[in-house]
Amino acid sequence: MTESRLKTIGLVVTILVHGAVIGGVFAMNVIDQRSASQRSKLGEDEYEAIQAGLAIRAKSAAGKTRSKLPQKDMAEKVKPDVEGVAMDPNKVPPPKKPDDKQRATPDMVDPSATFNKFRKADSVGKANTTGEGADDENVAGKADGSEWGTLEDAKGDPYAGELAGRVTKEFDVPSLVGAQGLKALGCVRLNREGRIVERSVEMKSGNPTFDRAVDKSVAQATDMEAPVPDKLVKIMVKKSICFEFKL
Amino acid sequence: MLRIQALTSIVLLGALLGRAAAQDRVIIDPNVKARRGLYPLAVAPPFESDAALAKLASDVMTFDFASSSWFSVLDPRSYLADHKREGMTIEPQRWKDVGAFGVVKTRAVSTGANVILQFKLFELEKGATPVLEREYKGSTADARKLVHKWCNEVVKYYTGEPGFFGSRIVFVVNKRKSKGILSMDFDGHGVGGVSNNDSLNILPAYSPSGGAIAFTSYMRNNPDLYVSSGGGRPARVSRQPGMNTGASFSPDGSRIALTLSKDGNPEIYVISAKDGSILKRLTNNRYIDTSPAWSPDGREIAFVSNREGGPQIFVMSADGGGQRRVSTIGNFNQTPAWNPKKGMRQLAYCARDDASGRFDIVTLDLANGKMVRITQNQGNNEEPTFAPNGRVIAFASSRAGGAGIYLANADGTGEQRLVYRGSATSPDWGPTP
Repeated sequence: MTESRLKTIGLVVTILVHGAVIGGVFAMNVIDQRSASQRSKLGEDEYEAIQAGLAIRAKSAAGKTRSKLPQKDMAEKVKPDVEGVAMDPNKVPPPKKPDDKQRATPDMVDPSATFNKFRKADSVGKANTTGEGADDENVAGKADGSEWGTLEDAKGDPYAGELAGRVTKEFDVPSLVGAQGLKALGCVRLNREGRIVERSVEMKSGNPTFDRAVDKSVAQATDMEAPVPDKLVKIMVKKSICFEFKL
Repeated sequence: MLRIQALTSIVLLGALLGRAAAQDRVIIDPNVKARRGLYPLAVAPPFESDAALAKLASDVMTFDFASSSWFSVLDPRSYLADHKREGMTIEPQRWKDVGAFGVVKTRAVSTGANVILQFKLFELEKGATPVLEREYKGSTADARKLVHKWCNEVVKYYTGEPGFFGSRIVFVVNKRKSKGILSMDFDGHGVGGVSNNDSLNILPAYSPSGGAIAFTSYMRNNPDLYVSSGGGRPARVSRQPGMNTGASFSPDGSRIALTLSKDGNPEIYVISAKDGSILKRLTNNRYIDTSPAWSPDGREIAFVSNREGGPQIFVMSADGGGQRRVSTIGNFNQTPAWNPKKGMRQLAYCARDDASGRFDIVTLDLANGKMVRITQNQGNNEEPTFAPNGRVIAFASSRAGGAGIYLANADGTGEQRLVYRGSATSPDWGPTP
């Protein structure tokens, strides 16, 4: 076999391999797009429940000083006609019903943040696009007049909030780090029993002191004291659950 | 050709794997605000070192870093590292396990009358490669200075700002029938005399270069102003009738603001630092104006006046114009000192707590009016002076735990450290050498 023939065969094989890889990537993208279009309501809702729970935790920690008006943000994006909540600043909300006191208000949750953060997670990983089987207890968006659910609904799952608290509890950035706008992901993986089986820092900021602060906080996170609830298994077990650490 | 093909294959495979990995990640924003704190630094026991020199190096580093307001030094008893095996390197995970962010390694060798000090700084996030290395040689007597020098390098590495280690503080020590001027390293070591008489010597002040110390002395019965520079007899610079007190050098060192009572009433003047000739009278009223403090940019002078009742802090331009009161809380505020940090307009002064009757140190940011109380419920705390970088304040305290000169962080956080025990007053912090 001549050398030129060998080169030709090699080239053909390479083209075939590359074609297969490119085709695989393309096919997966198509599948993702389809699955995204068929995304179950449950998957979104689970994320929103988690985020809403975290929003409430942040709110309770920060007091009533939220700087954004979430409904206003959402009004520009989806303009839902939500009973009892004035999305349009020029629109007068209808009279309150007796159960209105239980509805989510801007002071209670940040639905726009929830919405945006879900999209963020989705855009990065498109994770949990086919979740099923969760109970209705924590599902946001009940058909009771509120696009984003009642306060009780929006409290979300305390399990995720508890995990966030444990991972970020020791987040202490030395004051000699003057730079602002730093960000890194502190990630953990849980097993079914709620034990942390892997810890890592991803998308580091590049500032070694800040990154070390994230690393230390993640390293000192303690295991959850209860197994992962059934409804969260698909999105929390064996996946890299990453928390944004910012300065 | 084959290399290009292989490279392309690797890139494509990497993209595929990366995509798969990305699908495996869920990102949650917990909306957590970072707490700000100190940098946990481990000072490892010196390696292959002379015991006495090793202890000196460890002690100096520990004190310097801990008093810098930037670092917390970890307790050596918590260390898990095998120091013998590590030598002058580190096994990062061992240090991470005790919560350190950085590690300092030292080798301190004595060669008779001289010492060789080797230092390495490791940032654990950067692994086992040192981020800073220095070697110093000098006499045994200079060992402390060399360690201070290293500590300044570490501060500069992390903050970009010079440290104040190795700087000195001048102060008054109260004797039975006299008062003497002493100076010491900021950490209380190397105490030496400035005045050499049995009279009353008070209110010392460093020149901006640190090469001269002005003070008032009654050695010739009248409270005249003297300047001591480079040893020898201090020069009597101002000998106006009455008070010649409370000297504060201009930033260029050519002028001195002080209080003169030559006309009967204490007023603030500016004189030549060279020959004491009066250049300008800055205040002129029937009240007491005293304790001038020249701002680091040379444009303003803070002082104390009782023109509105009790003594209060005022600020005026360096030519005496625009006199205005800046202390707004309390009936008795005195002894202002400027933060020398560039760009800051902050004063520290002594304020009487009208409830307890005790004196405490406070800071006042002139840009926004923010006040921070530095001391509380710890005896009387008076006469603050800033470290050269503005991060730490020294002051005189008569607290029960031990009277003397103390250091405190200028932001009010952290532990307060006694650096000179005894009846001492009027500290003034000199520049970093």
